[in-house]
Amino acid sequence: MSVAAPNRPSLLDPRALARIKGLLLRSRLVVDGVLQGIHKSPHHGSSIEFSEHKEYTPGDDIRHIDWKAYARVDKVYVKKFEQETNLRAYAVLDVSASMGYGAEGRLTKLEYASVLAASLGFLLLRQQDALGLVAFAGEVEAAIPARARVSHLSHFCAKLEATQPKGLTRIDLGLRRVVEQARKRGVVHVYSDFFGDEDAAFALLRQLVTRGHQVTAFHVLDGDELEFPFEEMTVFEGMETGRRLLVEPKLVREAYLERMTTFREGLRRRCLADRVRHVLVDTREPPENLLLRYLTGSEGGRSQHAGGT
Amino acid sequence: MRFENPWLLAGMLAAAIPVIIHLINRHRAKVRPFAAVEFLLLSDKRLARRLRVRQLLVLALRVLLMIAIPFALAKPYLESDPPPGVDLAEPGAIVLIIDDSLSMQAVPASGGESLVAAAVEAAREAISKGGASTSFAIVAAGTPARLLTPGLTFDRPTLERALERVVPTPRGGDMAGALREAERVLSQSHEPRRRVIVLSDQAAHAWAGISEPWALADPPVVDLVAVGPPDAPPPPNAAIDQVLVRPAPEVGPGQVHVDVTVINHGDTEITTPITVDLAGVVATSSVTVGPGKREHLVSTMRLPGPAAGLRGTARLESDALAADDTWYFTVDFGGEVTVGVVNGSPRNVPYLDELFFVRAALEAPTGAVARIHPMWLTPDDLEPGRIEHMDALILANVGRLTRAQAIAVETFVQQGGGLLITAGDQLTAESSLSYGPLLPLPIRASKQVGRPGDPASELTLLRFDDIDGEHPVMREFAEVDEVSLLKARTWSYALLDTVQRDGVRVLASFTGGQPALVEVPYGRGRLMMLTTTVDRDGSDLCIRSSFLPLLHQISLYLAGKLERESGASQQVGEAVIVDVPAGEGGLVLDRPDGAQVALPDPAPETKLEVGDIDVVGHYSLRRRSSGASETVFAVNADRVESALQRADLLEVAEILRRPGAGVAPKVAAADAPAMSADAPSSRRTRLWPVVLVALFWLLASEAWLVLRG
Repeated sequence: MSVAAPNRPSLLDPRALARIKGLLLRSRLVVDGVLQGIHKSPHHGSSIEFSEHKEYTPGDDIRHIDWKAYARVDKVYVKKFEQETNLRAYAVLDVSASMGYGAEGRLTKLEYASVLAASLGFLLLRQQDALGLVAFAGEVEAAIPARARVSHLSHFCAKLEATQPKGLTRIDLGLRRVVEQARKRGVVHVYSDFFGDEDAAFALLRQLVTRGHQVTAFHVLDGDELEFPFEEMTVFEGMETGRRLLVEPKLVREAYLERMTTFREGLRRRCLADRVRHVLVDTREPPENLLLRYLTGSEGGRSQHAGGT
Repeated sequence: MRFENPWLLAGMLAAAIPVIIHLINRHRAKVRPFAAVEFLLLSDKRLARRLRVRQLLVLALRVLLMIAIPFALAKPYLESDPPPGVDLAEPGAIVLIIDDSLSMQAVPASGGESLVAAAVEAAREAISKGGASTSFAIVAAGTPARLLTPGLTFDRPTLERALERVVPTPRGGDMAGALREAERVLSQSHEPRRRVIVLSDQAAHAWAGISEPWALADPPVVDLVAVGPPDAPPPPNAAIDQVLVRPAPEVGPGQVHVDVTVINHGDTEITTPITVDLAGVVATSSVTVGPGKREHLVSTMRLPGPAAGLRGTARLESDALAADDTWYFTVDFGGEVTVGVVNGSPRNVPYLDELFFVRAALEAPTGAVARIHPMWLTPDDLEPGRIEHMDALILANVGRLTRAQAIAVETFVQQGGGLLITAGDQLTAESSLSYGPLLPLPIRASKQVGRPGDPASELTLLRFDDIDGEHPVMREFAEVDEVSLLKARTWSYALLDTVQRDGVRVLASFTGGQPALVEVPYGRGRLMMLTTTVDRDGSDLCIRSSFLPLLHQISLYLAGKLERESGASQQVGEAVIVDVPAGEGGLVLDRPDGAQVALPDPAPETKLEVGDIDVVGHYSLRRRSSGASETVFAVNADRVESALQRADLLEVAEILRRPGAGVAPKVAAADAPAMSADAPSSRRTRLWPVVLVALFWLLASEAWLVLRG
């Protein structure tokens, strides 16, 4: 896989992305950006294995001509590669009411997470991995078994688009469904703000890791949640609990940020301890940047930086 | 609890303002869905309760502030039962001070009896409530303070007789003397319970100037009882404050100006008629006086006969205090003014004589109502038997005086005579030392600034410049634009030392600012000095047309004939010194109340001190054998009593508390409800100072909470 600079200029600003309708289109745009970044890289991918030789016919890629075989048998063959098809990827998406938060002009956390999931799904399907979906809130809202067909992506995106943020955050319900379905080794992407029962969630995450799954926790947070930039006296209404609280923001900002930092750091440490890859998702960041960082494995710095540690 | 300004309590409605603002802010707060509200809750849990408490505390403080401000402005006070003090029924010694001064004659606006009658009734009730073992004494506080009982007594009939002697008087107040008298009486008692009850209108003037009321270290308990309607403002009162009569030769012969001063002690403007009766000639007019102001009403009247011993009255329309609405005065310009003139530098050549021009001036007719009779003397004539019957004395360029001469002249002035000293070559700085206090100001040096007829001296010659037109002597000169007095040139004068002396008044100055004519009161008389000569040795004043009227004015003024005014020396309660009428036979004083009092003949003294002046009006001193010659004088009440504003009794109470005394006196600001129906029934304790302090702390707390938040 090629590597792109993680902090290069945004290819597609989240505010502009928010104005684009249709998850499929959004994810295509994001993936295009990612692929552009990859094409700039001098490296080639490594996840493709050699399958057999095929006699050269015009139109074949000359880079795949097996010159050693030509030397031996004086015929031009090209190498044929067999892509891995035994990888099953599951997107576990939090569609609780709290994921519906988004500052004005920006994608909501759910929309952002959906773009990420769809984009990664696009990439996975492109290399013919199987892609499944579990959307959960207070219960499992939607579930799609893992399929490797490219046409599966539209179904995947349609499901994502059909989900509306509602209910409580029960991560354990979504993960339990994955634990039940994912018997083979695979990849599990969890998109959530983790505003729920962490202990129950990590018990299941550990179980998945133990089974050999590569688990990534995308911790999706809005910039408002990270910095609490409010000034005027405001009645804050809990999106999941409906609880109202009249607050003078400047009076509680310090305590809130301290609490939020503790929460994020705690989640990051638990992920590190349980061998779960942790990616902090700030919805103000262009998604392709984040994807590039994720794909190149350089999100840790970002995560640490965002975590303020 | 009561309030002085209860209508200001309406401002407490403003307490709703912080609540309304709070509710509006709460209503205006945006509702924002927020995912991480649980973090706010978690963050808030520690703070929330504290913040909520703080917000409620700030809100409560602001509400309290809005309540406290109008509350303090409304001036709350507590009326509590009187302090126990000394039970009248218990054994003890009590002095009742009854204020019988003029102001106690006032009748409350609500009508009824006078304040002095209410005070007597309150005293009578206190005595009736006193137990058999309680002794009383009664002190009248009118000037001078008088003990009306033979000390402390248990005898009720004696006390009743003393009370019957308390009648309205025109006296001034002598509260300090009354307290001393009460303390003296109580100091003779062995009773441990000693008490002074002051029954008075508690007018401010009664307590003015009292700073050390007690002579003993253990002062008694004092109750201040304000008789009269409680909390009622003093009734409006106007008074005639002074009457001045001065000749008006510019109007015509025998004409005088009668200047009546009216003062308004009330809170509203008044218009009152004034009737002036001068020996049967009556003039009526009216005057409008603003609150707290005084106005002059000048009436020009023709004297009905010789201006000697004429009686006059000025009256206002009767008001709450009728006793100060009439002013008695006399007019005595007439008769002869005897002026002794002492020649200090006689010459054989008449026109070079020191008195050449003085003689011409004083022997000329005055044109005024009084005639001047000059007597020409030498310094050797300055002895008591020669000068005591004179009205004024002129020492013209008289040099060193012997000790006896100085004493004779000093005694003459102290007894009411007038003295004019004129400068000259004999009166030098050295020789003037023999004059002692007779010189208004000491002479520092004799100055010569030029010579007569010398053209080179024209620029250095002095002229009269600054004239005090308010002074009776100079009034005529100030009212004329072109006066020869200002043209008079002076080339020799006595430079006076500018030392401090009470009452010195410069009537005229030279162009360089040096005093030319100065005056100072001395004893009952007046001293005056002209710092240049009355002949042509030092000035050409004597040949100016203003010289004659100036000398006449000075002579009449020094003789007390220039204007007759009723001064402080003619007040009720004080002794009056009067001229003894000529003739033979015993002296009789006719009092205004019709009584006749025989007085001893002070012969060979020519003046007599008349005491026991306790009635206002015209008095006449005459010879029993012949009534042709009499000395008339007028006596008026002390006008200080006209101001009826009440004193701040708490301040008075502070004065009566002796610092460092073993036992501080208990002072009831208003007490004795059982003694007088008119007296306030309780003591007033001001609360607003406490509220103001609380207000300050509320403000400080609110600011601290807001800043801390």
